[in-house]
Amino acid sequence: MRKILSILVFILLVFTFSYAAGNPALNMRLKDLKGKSLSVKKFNKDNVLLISFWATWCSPCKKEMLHLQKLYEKYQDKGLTVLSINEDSQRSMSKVKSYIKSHKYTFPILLDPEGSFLKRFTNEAIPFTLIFNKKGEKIYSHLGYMPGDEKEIEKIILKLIK
Amino acid sequence: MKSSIKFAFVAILLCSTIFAQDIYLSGSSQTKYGQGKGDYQFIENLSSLNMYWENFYIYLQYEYSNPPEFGLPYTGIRKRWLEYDGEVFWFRVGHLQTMWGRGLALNLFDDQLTDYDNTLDGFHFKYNKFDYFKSEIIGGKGKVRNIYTDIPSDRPNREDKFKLFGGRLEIANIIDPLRISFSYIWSENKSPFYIEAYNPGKIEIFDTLTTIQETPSFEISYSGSVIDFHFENVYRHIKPNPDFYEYEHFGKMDTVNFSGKKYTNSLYGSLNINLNMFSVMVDYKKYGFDITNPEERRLFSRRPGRMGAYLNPPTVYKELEWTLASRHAHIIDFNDEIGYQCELQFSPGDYLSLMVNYSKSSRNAAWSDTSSGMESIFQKEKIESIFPSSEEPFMPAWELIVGAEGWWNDLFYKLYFINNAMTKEYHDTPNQFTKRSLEKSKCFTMPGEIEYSLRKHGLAVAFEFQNYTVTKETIMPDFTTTDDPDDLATNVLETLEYSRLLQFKYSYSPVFSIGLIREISRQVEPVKGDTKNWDGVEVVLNITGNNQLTLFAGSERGGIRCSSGICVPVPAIEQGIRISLNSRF
Repeated sequence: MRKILSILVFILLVFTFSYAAGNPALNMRLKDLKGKSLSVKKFNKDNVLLISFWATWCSPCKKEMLHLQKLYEKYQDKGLTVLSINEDSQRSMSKVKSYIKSHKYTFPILLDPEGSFLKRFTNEAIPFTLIFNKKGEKIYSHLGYMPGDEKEIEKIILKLIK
Repeated sequence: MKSSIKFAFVAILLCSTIFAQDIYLSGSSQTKYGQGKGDYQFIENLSSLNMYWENFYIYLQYEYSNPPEFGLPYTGIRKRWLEYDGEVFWFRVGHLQTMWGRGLALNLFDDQLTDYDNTLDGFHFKYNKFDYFKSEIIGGKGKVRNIYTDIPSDRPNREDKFKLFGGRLEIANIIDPLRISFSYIWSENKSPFYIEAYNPGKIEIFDTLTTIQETPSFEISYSGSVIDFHFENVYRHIKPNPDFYEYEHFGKMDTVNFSGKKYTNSLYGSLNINLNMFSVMVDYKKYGFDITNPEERRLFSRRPGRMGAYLNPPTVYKELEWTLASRHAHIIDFNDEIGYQCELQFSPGDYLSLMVNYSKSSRNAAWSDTSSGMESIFQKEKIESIFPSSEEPFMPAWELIVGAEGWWNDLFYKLYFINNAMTKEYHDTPNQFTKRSLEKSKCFTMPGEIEYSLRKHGLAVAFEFQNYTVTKETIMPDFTTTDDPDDLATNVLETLEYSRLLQFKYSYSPVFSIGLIREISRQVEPVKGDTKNWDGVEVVLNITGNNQLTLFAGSERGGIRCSSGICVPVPAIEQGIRISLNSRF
């Protein structure tokens, strides 16, 4: 009990003093659809980064992806990167590439079959959307998808890419 | 106490001064509460904390679940690890979740949805200095509580413990899109085993069965612009300890022989072809971890050849996202199953995305009982093809899913047809009363959805229609017309049940959504039963971007919930509530 108390007090006080430039949660490597290991942070370099967590069995995720593709096409040249993180386990992973290819999504896809990257944002549910500014600071996070969420996301992107 | 507080403050001040500029923290809390008529009650809290300092990462997760929604109660630190992620090497100490290849050799994961957790408590080290080869080693201890995969289960709660050490070498970038990997795992598995010696019908845990498993595996994968493939083969050597187990059975000594199986082999392959708006995917599996007779299968715990708890290969079935359809999905036997899956995706534009998926599987062998007297003797008939069998003794199962979805301006539509059939039980046990008995099921489900969105408003109607048929056949001597035991009669009992699910949902982005849900179920064959209704209302409220409240009130039908091939019985809610609060900071 004393140990737990000490740890909690320690964490809270450190949190009070702490300041971090950028989000170190992005310091992680994930594999792309070709099996190449890529650093997530590189996608944030000089760009506003939108990260969307999804899976092939998640119906609201698939609805959101169409809107994200449109946002990506619209603002790609103005400094937006949309990074799609797939959360399918190995059991349904073989369907990811065929789904992406047939829907002609062009934004980069990384695979997180163990959910490790999702856990870094202390979340386990999807769809889950995050937006980081060019400094790597988390500006927006949203769990779930409702029709119209993409309009809120677009407003934030417009503010950040100015 | 005073000295530890002093120590903590000194440590805090020192650490804060030295590291504060670089430390980053984030956390979350998920609280769930449920109460209803009968025994339905749970309260759970899951709090997580992430801490980063340069290349180091610490994760802590605390759980309070008493009583839990699923599984067993737990209070304490549930997950903790320290991770270092550098240019040349990576390591983690603590709880490990990882997967080699597609999980045929090693797949450690924690699924909160089904309360399945086979994570390892140990170390994992990866060395990435060279572009053309990567190596890693792993080791530690793990345990799996409450394995539900053998549903319907009358077994007591069980805990399978294991410790393992393994290494993996990946060769890549020599021929660019081609990757080859080799791995080796040594494991010691300790499982409780049961014998019905003293209380026939009541299974009791008597002892622990230990097996040493050595598992070398090989993987090859290719990822091109048009074609992708992946192939994985696992070979396994098993050594049980003890080889024989003696116990007292109705005053006499009896023996269980564990030394039957020594070597097993399993493989998985996947092929993807991507052509513009067409994509074709073919998966194949041949899992032969433990091909065993019905007697050993029934006495689940006496199977030393069962795959280790650290393995979780692909299902080679489509994950179903629909409530009714997933209740009657085929339950995969990862120890003994052969099968394939083909999927075609066709998407000419946003207005149409067409999908056809066909999966089929069966067991690797059929068994006929040739027992004489008290001793069970089974004759094995192996499958002769590389494809699954359609014959009932091989317990075949298949599923066809055809559907379309797309957007028409602001209108989203989705309509699917799911048809499946399977042989659930087959007993070829000739005796004076029964020659053969089997149970088959057929299920047709039609889920659909229409959603209209206007700026921030969304209005959706979703439905599922389902007809579920179970047929029980018994073939027995027809003593009503003749005394000849070779004159057989077939007794067929068919049960038909229909279920309908209807949901209306309104949402106002990003603030809230409200859904009204009604499920109707009625048995219509062999006799018409009463109609049962389950009505509920669900509200989701996004208090802020980081805080979400979900409230369900009413009734909800229970049943089997399957996720990633693992199935759990979900309790029904009768006039109850379920509240969930998710917060992140």
